[in-house]
Amino acid sequence: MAGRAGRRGLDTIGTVIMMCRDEIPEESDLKNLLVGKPTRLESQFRLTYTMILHLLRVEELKVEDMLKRSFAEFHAQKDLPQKEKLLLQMLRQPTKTIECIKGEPSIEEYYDMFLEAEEHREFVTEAIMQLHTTQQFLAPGRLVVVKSKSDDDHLLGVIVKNPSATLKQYVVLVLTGDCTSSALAPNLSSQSEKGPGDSQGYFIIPPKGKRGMDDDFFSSSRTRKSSGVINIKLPYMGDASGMGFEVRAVENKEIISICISKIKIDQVGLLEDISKTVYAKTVQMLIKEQTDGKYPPALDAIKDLKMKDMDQVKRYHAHNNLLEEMSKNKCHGCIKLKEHKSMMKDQKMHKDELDQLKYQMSDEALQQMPQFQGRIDVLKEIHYIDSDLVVQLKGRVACEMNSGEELISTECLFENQLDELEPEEAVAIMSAFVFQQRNASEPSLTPKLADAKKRLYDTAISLGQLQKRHEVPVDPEEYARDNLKFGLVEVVYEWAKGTPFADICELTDVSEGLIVRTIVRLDETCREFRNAASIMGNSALYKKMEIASNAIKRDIVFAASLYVTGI
Amino acid sequence: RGHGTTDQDGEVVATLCGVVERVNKLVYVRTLRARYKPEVGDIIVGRVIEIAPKRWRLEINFSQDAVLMLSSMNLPDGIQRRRTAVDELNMRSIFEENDVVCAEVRGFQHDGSLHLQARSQKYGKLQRGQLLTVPAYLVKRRKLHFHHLEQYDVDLILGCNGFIWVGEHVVVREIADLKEDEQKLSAEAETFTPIETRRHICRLANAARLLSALGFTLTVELIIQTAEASVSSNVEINDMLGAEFYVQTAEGEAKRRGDLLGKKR
Repeated sequence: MAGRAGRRGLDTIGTVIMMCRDEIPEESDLKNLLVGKPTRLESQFRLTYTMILHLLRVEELKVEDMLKRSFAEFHAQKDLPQKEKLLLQMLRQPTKTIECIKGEPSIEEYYDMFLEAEEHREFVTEAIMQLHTTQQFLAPGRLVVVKSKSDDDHLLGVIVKNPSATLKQYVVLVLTGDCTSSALAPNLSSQSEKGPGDSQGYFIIPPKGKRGMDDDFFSSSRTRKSSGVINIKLPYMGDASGMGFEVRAVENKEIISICISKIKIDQVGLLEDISKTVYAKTVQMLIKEQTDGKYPPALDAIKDLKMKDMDQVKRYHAHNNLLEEMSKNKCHGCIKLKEHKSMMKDQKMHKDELDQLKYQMSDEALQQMPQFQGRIDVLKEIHYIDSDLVVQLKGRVACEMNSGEELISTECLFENQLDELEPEEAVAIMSAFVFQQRNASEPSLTPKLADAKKRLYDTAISLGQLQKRHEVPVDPEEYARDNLKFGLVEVVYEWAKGTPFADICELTDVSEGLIVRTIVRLDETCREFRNAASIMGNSALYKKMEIASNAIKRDIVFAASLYVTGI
Repeated sequence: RGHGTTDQDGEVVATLCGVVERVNKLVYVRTLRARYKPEVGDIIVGRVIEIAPKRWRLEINFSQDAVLMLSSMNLPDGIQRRRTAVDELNMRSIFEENDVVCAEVRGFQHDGSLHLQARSQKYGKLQRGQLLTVPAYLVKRRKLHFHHLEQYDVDLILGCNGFIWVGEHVVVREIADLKEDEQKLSAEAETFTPIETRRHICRLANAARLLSALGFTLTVELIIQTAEASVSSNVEINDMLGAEFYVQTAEGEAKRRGDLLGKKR
């Protein structure tokens, strides 16, 4: 409350004086009153069909503009100027063009394929890890291709040790390239000077091993198994036979593919007694396997690992196809591939941000938009507007209906439901639109009235279902029950026929005031239906409504004042 | 039972000659060459015939004249205020007799005449252009009635009552700029429309006349197409209304419709 004191925008301090007449309230109450949070303002904006139809009739306004101005969009609209500035700024940033040395840049397609291939590969490698046949293959001595810390390089390695109770990762010895100093940080060592030919070698082999994710955690845990003691600190780097190598602990996901070949390794020599010769020998064996800069072929997922799931197999094939496409692409053997890839990545990020910003500023991000679309679809389906959003005859009639639900009344009119009814019966049925009390006593109706009531109810249900189909949040039963309340049908029928007021009050338990109010509103409804009839050109209905209007406009219900007669 | 029908011995009989339309259970007859039937929200182009107290009377293609109230019109200085007696006396400075005005139908009055409003920047007095009359049924109700043809720098307004305006493009200005514009206006009165624009206006107007004489529904695309066809066949502007170009256009349209039918099959 104290926050509302003072002139808005002019005063920074306000004074609140509370006068307590009888007793001073509790201190906590007072505190709450003075400095407590005010009620949150919430938008009560309801998107109705009438509103949409009226707005569509005017050429100038768009309904989206109307939606933008509602309070619900207040927060988004507040930020709008800032976002615009940001957008302009971003657009002004020059996009660096990627120059391709081989002619026209096809780096974009390549990058897209690359991304897709990565996705597939992730899925496939995860799937493969689930297969229990893979576990059999991942024994020490098996050659694997491991993903390095940077996204591109893939390193050949050999499994030294399987995960055990204490160390949940595979210990793998990987070749990291020529003459890298072991004193350097791990990051640098993995960015090998291996020519691009090597890194391209990955693409030629259909990989389907485990997913490589870079993980640099190391542990020097010990196990009690005889050959399980790891005496070296992982990651352990070194040089041997002209090639740098690294012993590192990797997760499942970092293993990209499992190769067919195996080599013999000496676990003890590698891990427990750190002897240079053992390392050198292992490295030499690895280098031998690595023929011509290509990695040895990998296990085929379907044949060797027996991957059976339909989805997985599909993805696997898709992955392979993509790899073939990529190898046909010009960029495949290009020296500048890495550079270009990183540039593309930046560009993509930039573009994504730009798109995101544009989306937020556009019409699509309005909260009411999906509902609006749904309602437009409903209107199109029942021919109130045509596909160009031009309002048709039915739409124009619906604009007239201000009391009573627009869709139901218009459908009722166009179905000629009031045709066979006498004016009194027609006006009795129309009372269903304006009566506002739910739990009135059930009236006893003549068969004709009961039929008409049922027809109206069915129309309402079908409209409710139609709306539900188009994703307007409406429940058909509730919709019908909320908008049609048949409690006063008999009362109005009797009144229209000329029964005195005292008698009709006996027919129901609804209070008299409510009856009078309903009948007065009913007269308004009659007038609207009459206007609708003149738009439609239905002169019979026009006359009927006039007669009905006159029938109910009499006596005490339409007396201008209860206290003064004669006016 | 709807427009153009009546009940005769329990049978629904048509009273007008036309196409039968059915909407749910409503049956009505839509004539092909109807008189203009105004709806709320229509864009209308009309000519001022009379200045009455606090209103203007406009002639539109209808059985009665339309009324444009002074209060439904933006004042020249743009401020929203009550219209005083001085404003009433100065009505003539806003619109005079025989001015062409563009407005929107707001509703009907009790006697059936139309009530108009011109409260937006797009509505109002139309200058520097041509007004054509075509049969009202050739202008169908669409989403957009105001068209700005950029390549010709021309405004084209298809009034639903059959009055078509082709004129020089008017830049829609914000109200805040109006003060500066007042100084500009006096300067503008001296400058004339460039001759190229005038040629375009005439060409488009002739295209519209031609199409209406041939009985084709008027749409912006069709008018532009016809105008371009005339340019490409090097027809002089005044020759456009001659017989050869008529025939050429009719043939073009026939071919186009034939193609459409062919595509559908």
